[in-house]
Amino acid sequence: MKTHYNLIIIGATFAGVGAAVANGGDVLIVEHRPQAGYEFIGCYNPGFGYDNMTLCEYVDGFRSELIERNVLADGRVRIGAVSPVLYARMETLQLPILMLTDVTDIRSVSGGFELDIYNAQGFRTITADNVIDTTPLNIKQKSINALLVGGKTPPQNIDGMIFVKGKSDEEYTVKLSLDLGCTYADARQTLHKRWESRTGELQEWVIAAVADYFEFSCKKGPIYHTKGYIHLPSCAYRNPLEALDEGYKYAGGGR
Amino acid sequence: MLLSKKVDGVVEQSSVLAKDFDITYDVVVAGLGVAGSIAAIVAARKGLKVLGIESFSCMGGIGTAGGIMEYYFGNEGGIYEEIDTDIQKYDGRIYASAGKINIEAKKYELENKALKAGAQIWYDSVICGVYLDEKTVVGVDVITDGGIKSVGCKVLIDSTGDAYVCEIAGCLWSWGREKDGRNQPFTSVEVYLREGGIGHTNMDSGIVDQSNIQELSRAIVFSHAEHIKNVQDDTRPFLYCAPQIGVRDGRRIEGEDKLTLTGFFEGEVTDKPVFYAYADLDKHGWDMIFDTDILQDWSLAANLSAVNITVPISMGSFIPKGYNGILAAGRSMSFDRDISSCVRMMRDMQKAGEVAANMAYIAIDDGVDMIDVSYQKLAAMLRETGCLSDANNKGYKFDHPSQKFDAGVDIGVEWLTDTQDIKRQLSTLKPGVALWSCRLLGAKVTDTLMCWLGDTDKNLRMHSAIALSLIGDSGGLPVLHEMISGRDATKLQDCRKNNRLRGYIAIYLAGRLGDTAIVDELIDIIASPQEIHRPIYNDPGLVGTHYTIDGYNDVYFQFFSHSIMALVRIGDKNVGLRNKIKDAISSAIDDDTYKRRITTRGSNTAEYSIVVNLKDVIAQEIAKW
Repeated sequence: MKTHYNLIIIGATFAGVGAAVANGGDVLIVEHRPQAGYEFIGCYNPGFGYDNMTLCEYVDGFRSELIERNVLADGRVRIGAVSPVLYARMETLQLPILMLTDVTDIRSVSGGFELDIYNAQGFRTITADNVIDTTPLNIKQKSINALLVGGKTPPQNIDGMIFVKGKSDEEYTVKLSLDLGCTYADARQTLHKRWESRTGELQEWVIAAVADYFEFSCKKGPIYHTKGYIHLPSCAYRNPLEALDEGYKYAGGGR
Repeated sequence: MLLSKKVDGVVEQSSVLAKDFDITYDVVVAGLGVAGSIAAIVAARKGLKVLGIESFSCMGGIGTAGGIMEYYFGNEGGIYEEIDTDIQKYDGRIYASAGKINIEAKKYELENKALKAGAQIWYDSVICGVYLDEKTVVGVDVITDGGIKSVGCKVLIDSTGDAYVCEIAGCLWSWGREKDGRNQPFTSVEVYLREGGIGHTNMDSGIVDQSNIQELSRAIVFSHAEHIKNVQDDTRPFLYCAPQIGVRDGRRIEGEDKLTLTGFFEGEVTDKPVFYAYADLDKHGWDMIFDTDILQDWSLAANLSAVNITVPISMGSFIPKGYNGILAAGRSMSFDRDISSCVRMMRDMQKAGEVAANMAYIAIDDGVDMIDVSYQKLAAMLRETGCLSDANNKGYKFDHPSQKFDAGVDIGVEWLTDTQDIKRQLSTLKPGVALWSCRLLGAKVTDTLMCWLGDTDKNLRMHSAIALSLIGDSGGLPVLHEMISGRDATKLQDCRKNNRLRGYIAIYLAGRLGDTAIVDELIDIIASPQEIHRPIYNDPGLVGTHYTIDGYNDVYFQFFSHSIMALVRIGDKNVGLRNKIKDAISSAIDDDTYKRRITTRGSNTAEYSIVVNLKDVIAQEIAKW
């Protein structure tokens, strides 16, 4: 395995994938989870603002593909279905990626950075000229989300729960606001109890899937740690396309 | 004290001063998947101080995050049934109805029960180091919450699936298939919305060495990308790709006991079972030529691949050989790969978690080493919940995953000893039980079989030849030749899936017997340009298939691959034929055109992978000459 890269991207997020695509060959994405795009797809956050977007050519092509494949229509998206489309593009480009890999330390060294990583193959040190971290930073808000199905009456926001329409009128995402310190276990238990005690039109709706990740909101990047090492939190963007676009443009020298 | 870590793919151990752990537990459960989630709950309910460490963000493994919503065999009984019962009240009411197992409800309930029992859970966490006093595990380093914490423990239960912690600790292990180290195909699951709830599809997606993270990452990307063909359908809304891919085998510890398939068939099994595993030898993957002889004898030659077997599991299967304070619980327990293909089912893996937790409890409570845990005490605990039950000792059965049978149909298998019963069965297209019975009887039945070779009943003749060959007697070879040269397309009918054709059964057996007389015919099969045009490879009506896969010709692959392997076996035994065989094999596979005759599927698929692997492994085999 290579030990030095021009660019190491932390997080197989949409911004991270965008940056990897733009940067070209000498790049490595390092991702703790076994998924890409989890900051939208994995937390069932459909995003918003799909209309009125000016995107670079590559990302505009991605948007067109989502529309052609009936994943995005009239500004509304079936967020889970974005996943295979994203993976297909990653597969076509053979983007170098290490999933299920943790970054345990980053150090500035002469000429770049050393990163200690850990996965099933053990500890390893790799180096890079540049690092882009696309994971959340300075989180302002947090929610646990779930896909809802089965209802006819649009659910109304209530007491810490907001509802976002999916691609069809029969698909919604519920977002339950959480304290920043809330664990996955606490979040899941709370959501279950809230849904168990729901009343009114909410009773029409059942949970099809609880998200495996929190939705975070945080300040947009780039946030500069040091020359060559920035934070570009992907979750800060309105939707996956904007995140992909910002990552692409950043790595392509747009900033 | 030693600290054992893996660095750049190699386990390193260094001496450290006595460690003050940040926090100490009775039991650390590494991996809260199918087995680990149950282990954590049971251990906590016993009053032990338990920490569960999980790299993902939920409990349940392939049975929740992996999207698998139903059981495939395994035995009933055990604490997991309490959970499966309790989640039913949520099905369709809180969580969309999911058929047999509501995975969202289970995700919630496993965690609910673990927390109520007092277990502590660290998600998004992985073990990266193991502390040992000689060969006793005393603690671990954990990457968690942005840093590394050191945690002490009296017992560590490794339910990571691939025994990663056992590996780091320095325990002995084996990996994959003996001949080529490969694993079974993995699955990628898609969950979608259907009328009345949610459904899932579960398909084999490729072969991966999951210990190679680059390879694993590529496999995840590729397999999830394959679902793109289903995203468009509004009548079947695509919800998600299950985040955990379905890995079926990998690392297995070398334990204080190790059960092999050969040992199982010879009755070398424990008389102190902690549970009974129950399923068929569910080994996925088409390239059986590289499986062990015993597995091919059972699954191929006797056509019994879908017969369920009952495997008594011992305590020793959980204990890494020579180690204390650590248990493996899950598909990484101490079996050979053949047996592991039966034992890995979710019901039984949940039992494994329960057993491990109880073993840990007894070891701690009695202050004994793991190897000295009282079987009587353990068995009594397991019988209370039904985890261990004599009713689960079902022997051999022709069973069905739905486990629904016509009333009055006896699906149990009894091996035959009466020659008339054997003759009757060999005269049918369901000769499997008779074939295996002959193998068990051995020399006692060879004379009778030789007589039947001259019978007018074609099935009796053919199956008698197969039976003789299974016994190791070459008396049936001339009849095997008939099946080979005739490309016998007769499909046996014993099983609900994966029934074999007589033609390549005969090729396999001729190779096993080192039959030099068939060499030219086998060379024809692999090297003649006309071979692929035979009707047997092109007329689905002639053979039929259970699994229809576009772009993959399984019948041709089986004849081709078995012929090559038979030639290798014959060459192994006959030095004088090696040059001829080597030249023939070279002409058959060197230019790679054989690949397109077998499959047109993409390079990341399981089908393409097996044709590439065939060339690599055969080259290695011939290189030994």
